[in-house]
Amino acid sequence: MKKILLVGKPNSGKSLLFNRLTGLDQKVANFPGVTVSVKTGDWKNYQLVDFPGVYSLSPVTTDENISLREFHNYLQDTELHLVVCVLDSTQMERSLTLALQVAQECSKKQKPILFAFNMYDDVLGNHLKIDFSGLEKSLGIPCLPVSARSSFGLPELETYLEKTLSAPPPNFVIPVAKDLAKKFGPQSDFFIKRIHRWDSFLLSSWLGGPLFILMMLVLFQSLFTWATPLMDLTERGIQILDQFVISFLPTGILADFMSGAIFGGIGTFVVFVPQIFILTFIMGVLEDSGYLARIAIVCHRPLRFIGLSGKSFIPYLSGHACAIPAIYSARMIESPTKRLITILTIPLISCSARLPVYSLLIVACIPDIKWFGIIGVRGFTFFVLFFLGYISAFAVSALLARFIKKDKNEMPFVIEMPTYRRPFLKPLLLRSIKSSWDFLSSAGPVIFITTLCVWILGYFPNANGSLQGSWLESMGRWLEPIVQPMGLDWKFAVAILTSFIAREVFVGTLGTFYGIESADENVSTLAQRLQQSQLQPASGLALLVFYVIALQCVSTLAVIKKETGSRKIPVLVFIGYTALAYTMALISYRVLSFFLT
Amino acid sequence: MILWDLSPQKTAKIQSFHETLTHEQKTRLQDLGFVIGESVICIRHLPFSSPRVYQVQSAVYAVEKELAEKVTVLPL
Repeated sequence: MKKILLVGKPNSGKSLLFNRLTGLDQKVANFPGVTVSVKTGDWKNYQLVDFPGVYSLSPVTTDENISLREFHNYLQDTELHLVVCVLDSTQMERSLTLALQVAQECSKKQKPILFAFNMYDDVLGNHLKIDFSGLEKSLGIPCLPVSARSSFGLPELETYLEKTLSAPPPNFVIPVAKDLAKKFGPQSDFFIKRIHRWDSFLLSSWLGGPLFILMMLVLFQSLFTWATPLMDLTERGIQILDQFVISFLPTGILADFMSGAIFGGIGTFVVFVPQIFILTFIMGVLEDSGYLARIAIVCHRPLRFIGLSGKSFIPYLSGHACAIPAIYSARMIESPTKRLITILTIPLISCSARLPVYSLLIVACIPDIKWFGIIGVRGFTFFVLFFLGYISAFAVSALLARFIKKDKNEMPFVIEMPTYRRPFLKPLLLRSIKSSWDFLSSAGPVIFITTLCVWILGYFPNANGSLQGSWLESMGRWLEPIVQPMGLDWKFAVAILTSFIAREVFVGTLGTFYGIESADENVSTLAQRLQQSQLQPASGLALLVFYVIALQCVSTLAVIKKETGSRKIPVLVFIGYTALAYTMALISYRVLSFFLT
Repeated sequence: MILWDLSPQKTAKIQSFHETLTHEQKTRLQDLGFVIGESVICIRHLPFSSPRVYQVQSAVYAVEKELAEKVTVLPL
């Protein structure tokens, strides 16, 4: 199969172009270093290869070394059809510096190359232009304006991709990028001025930090307030569906199974999809606008004290959606020590899988009141829990930094500030839908099997809708001494045990318990049932502390193993975080019991 | 003077790199456009010795103190 390579500097939009052409959905965002490994996809009869962005063809980090070696191997491949160098039209000089180096390599190997000037709609939108014909004549390389975001120029690019283009002349001499940009590029520093205008506000000496905290507060507050109507709607839908299905079934084991296991277990889990959707949407706005890079700067100095880098904050924030892509994105941190510490502490950042657990326990333990008529206490508790995740991550980082030996060639912090861009609604919505679907499809089967097992163990041998005397109760009573010091009973012991498969299973398991005993199944009812079961606020809050710290995700451990190349590290991390979570939960229970009774 | 001491809105020319900069660190700086003879504008200072914001060519970067104090510049 003939191959087409996509190369360019970081944040030039290669991956978005790759997605547009292949129909794949590789992660894209508006900050440098999003793509961390070489990705391939098919376009017509060609294989498209998307390379991580590099600033030059002289590698500095191990990852750059690997991807550039791969690039040079591709250049020698007889099946190579074309090299597409993707440039950021709004940063012509910087983009040309790398593009001209790539052109020289193509000239040496006599491989055809094309320059695709991405984000050209942004240039046109500001009444500016690039002289493509002049540039093309000067370089002897085809230069095309495109916009992967708005699809501008894509049909023309596709026509060129299929053509057999000629390689640059063998004696290609690299011209000065600055001169080319000055002669043919947009005659304005509009884009730089746009960066400065927004930065003067978002990075202002005294506003930058508080503004960031305010944004985070709004984010977590909105997870509760904005998601509630959608969650209520989903709940109502599940109730109607339950009643509809049950009305067709005869009273007995099948009706009990549908009500207890399916609607009771899985139903309570589905209700949380709106929260996952909103979280992904807001995170997407932060990523696409270019604000994430600014957060990295604001946070760099304090993070440096605990052995991290400002760049660690970008994977941390991504970790709110899911720890797995966040661990991969830690590759953007050049320093091996800081990268390792970031990877090991990402599991402490509250991910979307914790949302159902947090929501359920917050509704069960925290009264629905507002401070000053605006700040909802439940939403604020959400913020506190997420904040607690950060505090734990920082404390563990500080500890690890003392023991992990520093690399002598550590790369100091330097980050390119991306241009601010207005996030597009359609890609954001698509990303949020995908994330919600991933949440359902990845956790769904696990939850189904677990709730099925829990239902069978809880339903039999009685088969009369009572958990008393069931196999599950016998098992739970055996486990009860572990959770009793936190004021919890055997049901919670079973729910915590099953949640080691995946955190969300906790809600499904409790839903199945109460589904067996009652036909009601929705979050507020489940929360009320937890209150009626005399769950003490101190126990509920201690349980929340446990879930903030515990690492209950097999996939995360697998990715840690892959990224660290060690089998011992994920085992130690799992044991360490479980022990820490249990100890902190016990301490919290003791302290809270003292104040709340 | 060193790059870190350049005041906001002031322009300077990069003169040299400190000998303690490793080859990799120097290469990365040069890749980003911090080459000898290039003009650099200090855009912003942030509180608590946070990275400072500089414009080189058509790009804007935040550079931390430990790196910016190893670049010697000549104010224009």
